Amino acid sequence: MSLIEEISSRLQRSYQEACSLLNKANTTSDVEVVRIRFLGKKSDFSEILSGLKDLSPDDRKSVGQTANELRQHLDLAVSTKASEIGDRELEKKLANDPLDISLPGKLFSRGELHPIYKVQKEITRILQLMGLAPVYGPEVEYEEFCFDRLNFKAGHPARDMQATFFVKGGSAKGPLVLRTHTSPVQARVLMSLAKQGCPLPVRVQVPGRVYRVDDDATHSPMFHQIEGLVVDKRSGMSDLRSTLDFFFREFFGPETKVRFRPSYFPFTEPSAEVDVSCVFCKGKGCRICKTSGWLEVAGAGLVHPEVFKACGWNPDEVQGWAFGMGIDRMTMLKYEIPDLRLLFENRLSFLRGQQ
Amino acid sequence: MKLSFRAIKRFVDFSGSVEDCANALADLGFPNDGIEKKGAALQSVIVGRIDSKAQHPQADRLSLLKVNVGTQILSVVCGAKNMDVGDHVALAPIGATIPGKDGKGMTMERAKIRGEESEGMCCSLVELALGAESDGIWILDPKKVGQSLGKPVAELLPELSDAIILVDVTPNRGDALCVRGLARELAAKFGLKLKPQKLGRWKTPGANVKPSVENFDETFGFLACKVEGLKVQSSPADWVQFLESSGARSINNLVDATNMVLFEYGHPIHFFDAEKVDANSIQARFAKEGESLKLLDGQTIELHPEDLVIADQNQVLSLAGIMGGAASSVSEATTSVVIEVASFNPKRIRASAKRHQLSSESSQRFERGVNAHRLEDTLERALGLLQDAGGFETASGSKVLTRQLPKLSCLWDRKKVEAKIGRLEWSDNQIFDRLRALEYEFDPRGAQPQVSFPWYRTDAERLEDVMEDVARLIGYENLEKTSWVAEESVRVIEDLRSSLQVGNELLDRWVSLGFCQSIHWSFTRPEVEKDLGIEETPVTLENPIHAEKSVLRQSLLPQLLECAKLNAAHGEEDIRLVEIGPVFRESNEKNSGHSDYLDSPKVEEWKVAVVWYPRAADEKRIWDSKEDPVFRFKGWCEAAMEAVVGKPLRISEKLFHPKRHWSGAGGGGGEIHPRVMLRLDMAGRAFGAEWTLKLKVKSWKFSAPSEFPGVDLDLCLALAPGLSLSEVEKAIQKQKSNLLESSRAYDVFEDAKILGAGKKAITFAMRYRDPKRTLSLEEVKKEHERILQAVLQGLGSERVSLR
Repeated sequence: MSLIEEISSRLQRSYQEACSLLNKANTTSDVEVVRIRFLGKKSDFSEILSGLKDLSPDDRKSVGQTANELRQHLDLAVSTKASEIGDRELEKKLANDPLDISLPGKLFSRGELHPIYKVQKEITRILQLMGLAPVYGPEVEYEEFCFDRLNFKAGHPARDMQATFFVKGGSAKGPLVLRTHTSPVQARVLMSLAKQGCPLPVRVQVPGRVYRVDDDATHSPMFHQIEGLVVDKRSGMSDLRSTLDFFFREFFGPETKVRFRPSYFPFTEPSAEVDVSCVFCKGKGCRICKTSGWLEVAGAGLVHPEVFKACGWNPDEVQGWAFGMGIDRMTMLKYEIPDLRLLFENRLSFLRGQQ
Repeated sequence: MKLSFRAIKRFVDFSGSVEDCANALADLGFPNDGIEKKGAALQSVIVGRIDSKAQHPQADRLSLLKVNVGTQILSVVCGAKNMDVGDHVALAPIGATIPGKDGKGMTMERAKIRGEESEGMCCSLVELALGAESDGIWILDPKKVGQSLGKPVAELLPELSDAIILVDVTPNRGDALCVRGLARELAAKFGLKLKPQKLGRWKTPGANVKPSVENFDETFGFLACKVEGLKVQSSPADWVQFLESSGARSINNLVDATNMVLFEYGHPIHFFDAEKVDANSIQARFAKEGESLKLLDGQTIELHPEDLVIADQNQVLSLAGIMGGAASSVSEATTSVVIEVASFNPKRIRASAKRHQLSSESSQRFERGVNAHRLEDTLERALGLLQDAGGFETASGSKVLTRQLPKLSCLWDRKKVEAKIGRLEWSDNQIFDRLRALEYEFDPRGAQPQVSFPWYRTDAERLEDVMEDVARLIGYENLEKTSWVAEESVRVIEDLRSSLQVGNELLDRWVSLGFCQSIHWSFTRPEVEKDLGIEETPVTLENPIHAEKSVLRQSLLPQLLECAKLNAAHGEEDIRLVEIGPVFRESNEKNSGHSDYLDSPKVEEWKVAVVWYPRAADEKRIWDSKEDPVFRFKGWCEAAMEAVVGKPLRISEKLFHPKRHWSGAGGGGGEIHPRVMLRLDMAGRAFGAEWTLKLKVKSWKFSAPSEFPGVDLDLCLALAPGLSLSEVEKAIQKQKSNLLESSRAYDVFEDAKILGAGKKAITFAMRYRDPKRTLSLEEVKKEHERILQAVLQGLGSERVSLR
């Protein structure tokens, strides 16, 4: 046997032995023993590879190649086996996890928006879809804006319909009130646009807090309204009706029906009360709709020419319409809240809703 | 296409500026890629006269010139050879910017050239971007110079006063790829008339000219006209200028005449040398297998059986609509020509141009469609041009035309038009008048007038096409607009919009931190506010509902605290409440700007406030009892308010524990004063905070993800009693460099035995990073040390030391 043959058979033997030991290995340390013995610094492979320099160039090449190939195979086999065993050992450890995951999670209270606010946001969103930009006005308001400019004449019985809070002291521009509705913002918008030459169209919505001297089971001295105002060259009842149709279907659901009934407001002519088909009984008639099948939800109408005049607009050149509704009432309808007072008591158990 | 503004004025009396013209065209649907003003680059180049010329002492090839520019005499070093004393030159003085040889622009600076001062440069045509090549500097024509020494060169040369609009013409409007087409649009828009152009006369039928068409599906019409008695000469100056403005080069009067017609009328025509063709057998036909053609540009192409060609009985003369053949082309010796005016199937031209990879001004127009109506107009314009440049003796020709020339028309229906494009202010007759300027025709007989489309249009067939033209003439911007979505104009009153945006952002954050939104009435008891340290005059009601609700609140916190108490009485734990709403107070001055509303009678301002009332029983469940809840609350405040920026605002301190409160952007908070808790009859501790909404929501900003690793080092400092963390943080921030990315206190250690009484040790996590490279530990350590020393020095070593 030549030297070369001897070396290669030694390598082969070494490789075979390593493989059979690897097959028997059961733990990470078994594999490590094989690695050190057959691939470590003192292994046959290392010894032979370091002895290559004494061979002739041809022999060096053939022995070197064989040795390297076998070593690479062995290396791969060792690392494969090591990760196999490693995975198995990890799974075993995880199976004996001491943590009891059935223990409760760390308590964290849940916050909620106020239901009125949720409803206001939803209404504002829908009206924005229709291009009505939200605008706001003060709550302490000139009596003039709250009534006079909206065609509530002094001494007019309509002024008594809205029991008004007055602010002590008044102002240089006359008495001050807590606004009884959001409509003074209509006057503010129209008057300030009149100064800019009455640019069209006007498309605004006014959400906000309003006040009336009333405090009982169905009335709160402070409540919320939202109203819309649209003024354009030609925009009338048909636009108003299609807008509210769209609005209430979006708000209460697509099966909702909308009905207009003649009514009276000083600042609109013609005026209408707006009903929707009862959201509880779907119009069949129930306790809440008093068996009528309809719920009164909004007031609406075409802007009164006197309002345009009082705010500096020419009623012959423009048309407009407006509508308003109570956000609190919409909230009660939407969530079936039986008592208005719950809304302002702010009990956490109410605000959090059903958990 | 390049539209010469001077040429437009030959076709229509447009009185506006070139910008007006470009804007009007854009409104009509022909936008542009810019306007080139040829003379613009030359405003700073002035006329000078060479008063003396001498050899440069250091350089054989350079001359020293004295150039008189009227007000002074400049010394100029010049490298050209073609000038002499007395010549007028285009001089770029110091400070002038000229296009330069590379067209990138160069600005003259005072310079010494081989030791000799040069106060400017004599320019060549190339340097002024007026020519492609030049032989030396530009010597101005002495006849034109006159008394204009020192004046801008541009003023001498009318051709430089032209401006070129780079008009984009949509593919459907091949008819507008010419001066006449665009002038017609302008005329219609402004109610002007197209000016007639000089036309030439011809006889028809012509003797010895018999054009024929093999297939009328491919060639719609073919007019051939023989013109005799021509003389080849150079073109008039205004032709040369027009052709240059249009992007072509002048060759001679014959070649130029074809290009003039092409750019003016948008109809490509071709001149064959009449000596070299048999006009009696001239025909538009498909090429035959095996035929080839040597083109004008010298290359020979193998023709395809689907290539349209013009041929006579002897040979193929040209590749129809694309390029003429070399053999039949006009030359210096030409005295008579056969003019081809034809209309081809655009698809066929497109295919051939693509097949042979030939694109020419001619093919581009035929590909978009050149109508077969009015071939005569085009011919007559060509003859008119020839009369202006050399003249001719006789012209006679003949025409063949398809029988299926479409005459497109539809019925006018104003209702339908208005339903689609909005109400029109013009009457029907006004509309028809404008459309007539576009060469529409109207037949008023019948209930609805019949509208015939302009002869040159190839893309119009329906009422909608008429609508489009009406809308273009009125201007899309002037059409009736019925807005559905509100415009900015309604946002006129000073209002809460931005405050509420901030409010909603903060509300969402507090809700996600477990807070429930409450809504309270605006009324409160005057005493409550006094108890809580609010001392300003409240807005008072004349007719309150109860005496307890007689004033409008000035802060949201009292009601929140009372609400927390109510909830506690009902056995709620871990009470977290947030409110967003208005507060009110008497105004000190009129419209002091404190209010959220313009012209508001009182000061009204929207705020957001929170209250946390953890109860003793919560401790087991909610937090690590070792942690003081005030820090938990402060952490929430920081997390929520991270969303906004604003001016710092001090809070009413009487409401809070004297040592346990903080202020920041828009407000602040802390632990509620134990005295207040006593007054409210509330047990335990409560925490509250209130902010104005006059803040801004931070907008998200791009930050490049870091590519290189950071290095984290800890900095542990021992703080003497009375030195607050925030002072140390400020001192570190002051040292912030390019390398220090962030620093954050993360550990506080207090132990009297180890540190000494009242001392605390605070550890800061310092992260160093360079966005452009990997930092070495050494340089980080150096920077760390620098910051440490600076902080120690800044605060004083008796107050802070390294631990």
